[in-house]
Amino acid sequence: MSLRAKLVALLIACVSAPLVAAGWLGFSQLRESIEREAATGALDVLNQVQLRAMAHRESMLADVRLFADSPLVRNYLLVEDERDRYTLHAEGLLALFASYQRARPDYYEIRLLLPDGYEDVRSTPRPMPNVTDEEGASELFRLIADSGEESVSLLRRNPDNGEPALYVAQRIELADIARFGASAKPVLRGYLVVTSALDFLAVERRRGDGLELLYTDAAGVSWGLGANGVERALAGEVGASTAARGAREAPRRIAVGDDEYLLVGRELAPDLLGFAALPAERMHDAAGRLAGLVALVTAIAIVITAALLFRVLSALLLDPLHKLGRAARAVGRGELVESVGIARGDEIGELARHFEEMSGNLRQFRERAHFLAHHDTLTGLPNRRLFREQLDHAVAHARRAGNGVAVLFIDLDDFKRVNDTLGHQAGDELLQRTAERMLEVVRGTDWVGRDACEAHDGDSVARLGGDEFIVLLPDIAVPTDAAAVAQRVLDALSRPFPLGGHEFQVGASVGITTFPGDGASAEELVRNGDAAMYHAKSLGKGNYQFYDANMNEAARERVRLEGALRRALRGDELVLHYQPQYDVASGEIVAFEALVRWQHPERGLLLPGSFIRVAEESGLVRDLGQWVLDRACRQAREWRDAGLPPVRMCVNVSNVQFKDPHFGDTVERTIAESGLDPTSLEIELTETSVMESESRSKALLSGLKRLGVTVAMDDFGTGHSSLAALRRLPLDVLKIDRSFVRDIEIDSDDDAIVAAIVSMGRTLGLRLVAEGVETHAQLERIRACGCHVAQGFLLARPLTPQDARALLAGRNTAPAAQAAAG
Amino acid sequence: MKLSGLAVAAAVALLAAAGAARASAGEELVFFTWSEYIDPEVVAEFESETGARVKFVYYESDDLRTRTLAESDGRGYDLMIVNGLNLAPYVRRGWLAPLAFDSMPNTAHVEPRWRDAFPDARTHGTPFFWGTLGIAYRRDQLATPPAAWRDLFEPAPDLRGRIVMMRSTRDLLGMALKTLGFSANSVAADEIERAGALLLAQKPFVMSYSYVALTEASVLVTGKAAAAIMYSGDALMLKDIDDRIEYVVPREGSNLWVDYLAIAASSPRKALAARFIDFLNRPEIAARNAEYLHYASPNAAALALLPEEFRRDPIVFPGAEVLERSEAYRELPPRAMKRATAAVARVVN
Repeated sequence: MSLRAKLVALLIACVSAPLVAAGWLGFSQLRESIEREAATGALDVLNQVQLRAMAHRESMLADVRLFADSPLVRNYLLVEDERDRYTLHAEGLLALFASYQRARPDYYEIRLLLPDGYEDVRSTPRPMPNVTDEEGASELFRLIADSGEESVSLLRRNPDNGEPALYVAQRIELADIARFGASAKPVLRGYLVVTSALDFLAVERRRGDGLELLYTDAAGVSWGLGANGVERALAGEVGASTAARGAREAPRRIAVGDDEYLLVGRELAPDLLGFAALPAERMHDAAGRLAGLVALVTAIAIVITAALLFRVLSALLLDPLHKLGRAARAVGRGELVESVGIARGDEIGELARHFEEMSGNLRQFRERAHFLAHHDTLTGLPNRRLFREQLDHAVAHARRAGNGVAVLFIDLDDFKRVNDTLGHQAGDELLQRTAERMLEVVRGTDWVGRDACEAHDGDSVARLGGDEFIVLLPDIAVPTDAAAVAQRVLDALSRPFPLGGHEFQVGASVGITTFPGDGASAEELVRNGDAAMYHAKSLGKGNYQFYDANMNEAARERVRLEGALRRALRGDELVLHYQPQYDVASGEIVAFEALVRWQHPERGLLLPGSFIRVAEESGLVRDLGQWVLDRACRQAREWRDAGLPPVRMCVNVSNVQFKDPHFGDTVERTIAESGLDPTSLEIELTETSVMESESRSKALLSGLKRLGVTVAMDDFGTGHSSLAALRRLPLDVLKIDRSFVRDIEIDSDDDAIVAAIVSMGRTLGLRLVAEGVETHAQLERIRACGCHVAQGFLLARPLTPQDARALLAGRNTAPAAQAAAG
Repeated sequence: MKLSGLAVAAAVALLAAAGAARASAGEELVFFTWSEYIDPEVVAEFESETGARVKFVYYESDDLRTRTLAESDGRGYDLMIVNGLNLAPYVRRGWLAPLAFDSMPNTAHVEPRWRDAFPDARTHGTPFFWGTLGIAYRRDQLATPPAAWRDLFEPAPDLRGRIVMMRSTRDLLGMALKTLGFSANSVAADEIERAGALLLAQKPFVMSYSYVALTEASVLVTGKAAAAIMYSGDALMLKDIDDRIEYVVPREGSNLWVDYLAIAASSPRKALAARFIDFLNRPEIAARNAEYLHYASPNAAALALLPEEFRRDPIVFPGAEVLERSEAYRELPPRAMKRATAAVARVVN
């Protein structure tokens, strides 16, 4: 039995007992009240019957008086000869009585009695036996004759038909004025007697509310009105009961056969007792319905109360227990929970906190165990096992993403000598120092200011064992990228290590394998990397070797180029050329775009395409960009100082420069240093740079505009900037990419794109510059589209500073300018 | 005359009182009688001869006449038709005046046997007509013509509600007694009781307890009723209107009745009344009246004036065998009469 079930059982038991008791008490009270009301109702009924009985008697007395006053009755009684009465008068009198009886059918007998009690006239609508017509000795006659009353009433059983009847007799005294004159004295002539059935009492019996009405005489003998089985059965009990007790109105219970009745009684008239018997079954029905209702209410109360209490107890106890249970199961499964989800100040809350502590400790232990399983204890670097996981992962990812992976196998060249001469402790220290240096190199932590692209997030260093280290570069663009890292590792390890008060020169050999070129699987990469490393060692240590020999040459070339570019930046090998931009409408030069050239001592004039990639990979691009900006600003300033017409100087800014958080300051400083009017400077940014972080771009561009610098978006159309983005950015110029301009005359799509860009740009209030205009047709199209400025070989090639100056000085002398203006 | 019962009695009493008052000044004779019981031309002749006017007040049964007279104690009328049986009680109550036959010479034509037929007839009445009581019926509406009182008192089922009976204690009880084989004058309590039971049993077949009208509006003519208890001459008068109506004296026998002309003791115009009685007893007048009414006249001189055919009509003049089976009513002892009255009252009321 679960705790929950036990709780439910306990609650139901605790709640039920008082509620059931309360329900039973209420029910008992209500049942008593039902009995009281039933008794009261029954007495009310008897009251009504009593009123009817009184009213009946009163109306009978009045009727009899009226009947007795009839002239026919008087005439009849004044006829002394009985022959004449019967022959001449009785017929009319009977007709009169019959008419009365038609009006009052319950007056089933109307009689005239003579003073001696002889029944002279008897009118009964139905033939009815007559026990006697000598009524002189009857109780009624004696009552009226002896009492001297005008009228009397009597309730008796009629001997003629055995039914109870109410008799009313009226004395009739008449003076025979016709025979003896006005002074004749009234003489008793007879009595008019009406016999009434007690039908109204019988009618009262039938009520339909289950009440049995019973009438008895004073002795408790039933009058037998509307007798039926129930009444007969009741009569005996009531009779006995009545004889035994004086009081009648107090309700009492009597048993008749198997049935029980609630009985109340009342004296309705002399010799007429009324009893109302209500079958107990009836009350039981009502009580039964009541009991059902009380039981239902009690049951509902029990359910609701138990449910509410259960909820409260659940919230207090069961739910926390369940949560703890779930948490314990989770821990059992190995899922470590940080929070059980119970924040309470009581004992359960304490238990939950202990549990969380325990869980936290378990987690730490496990993490520690995991770390130990995957890392080298000496250096803290990932061990062979983790490296293999990382490599598998990197290969799988590279296979999907299409990038390259490089693995550098590094072996210290003179580790054995350190171990042998300085001992293992020094050897261990050397390994630790080696690890530190490699981490610095790979993660770029000591290359402050270096381009972030130098060290990728996934780059890692591992120790395979002994003096073997591995560097994993999971995301490289070209294999030669790995060479730079290898070179840096070699450089870092070639510095002397201070060990035990001495300086030790160690050095290392590096073997490089790249995916996918050197192997399709991690296994292959490792095997080939090892081979490459031994190859490097065999070549005399302190160098790196690609597994693929071709790579070695390419890598060396790149390293050479990088060194040359570095020298070029320091020396005078870089120059700027300037390509003019013409106003399409006026044909005037409105700007120059500064373009960098490298005057290589051996290879001649190099365009950026041949060295910009090396510059970017080596991080020199920032220095290069700064050099261009600085040079262009100075040049523009010189031209202005020389009194040449003012034109804007457009300078390309690389993504690397743009991402530099201090770029804005650098521009401002450069302008200030050159003394150039900021409005003459136009910064050209690529669409990709700007769109990389819109909010940052927006802030930066706003800063530039505050300086007065014009901002242009270069190569527009190659990225995916939306119109909405353009609207949000504070741009001045839009340079339409040369690829659209090139095909504008032959490709209707490009034509439409240029037209759309121009239309859109104009709407946004931007100046539109078309790059790469090489033919007159292209010029015509961009003019037709509404483009403001054109730039391209058709108009002018990039010019040396001297040529540019000359062009500017001569203004529109260039023949190409004619074309632009035309 | 379609009025009936107490309503008739009350109306008649009022009219009679008023009429009597006028009679003293305008010679008006108030005549309390059956309707259609005198030839109007005879009345007209008397009125033109004397200058007096005869005012008629009608009753429709002997009982209702008696009830009317009992209520007014015999006052309000000058002349009345009284059946032989009631002469003695009326005389005892002092309602009738003794007749001065000297002033009515034509009464001498009356056959002596009718003068002695009932107590007090010799002194207080002049025979008017005599006849039988029988069954009048529509021969076209009865499967078999009735031959016995039993056919009327225990009728065929299809006669339910189609019989008319008189409201007359002695006639109803008498003929019921005869049906049961008893005397119409039985005094035996049990016989009277059985007769009363027979009457009660017949009640569902009775359309009404009244006397059938002798006009074209009669229920026997319209066919609403198929049979009725009726006096012989009245049946013949109805047959004149519709000859589908037949009359039979049932084989148990009948009541032989005699109606008398009597003068009210309270009448202030006894002389005029006597003159009218005398006029009616003129042989020629009596004959005309008898022929008109289809009744047997007790006036011997009148009979001689009547045609042979009339004198041979067996309904008007029943044969000896009918008379043998028939009875005249006699006054019953008081207790028997009381019983009879109560028995019939239960039926008709």
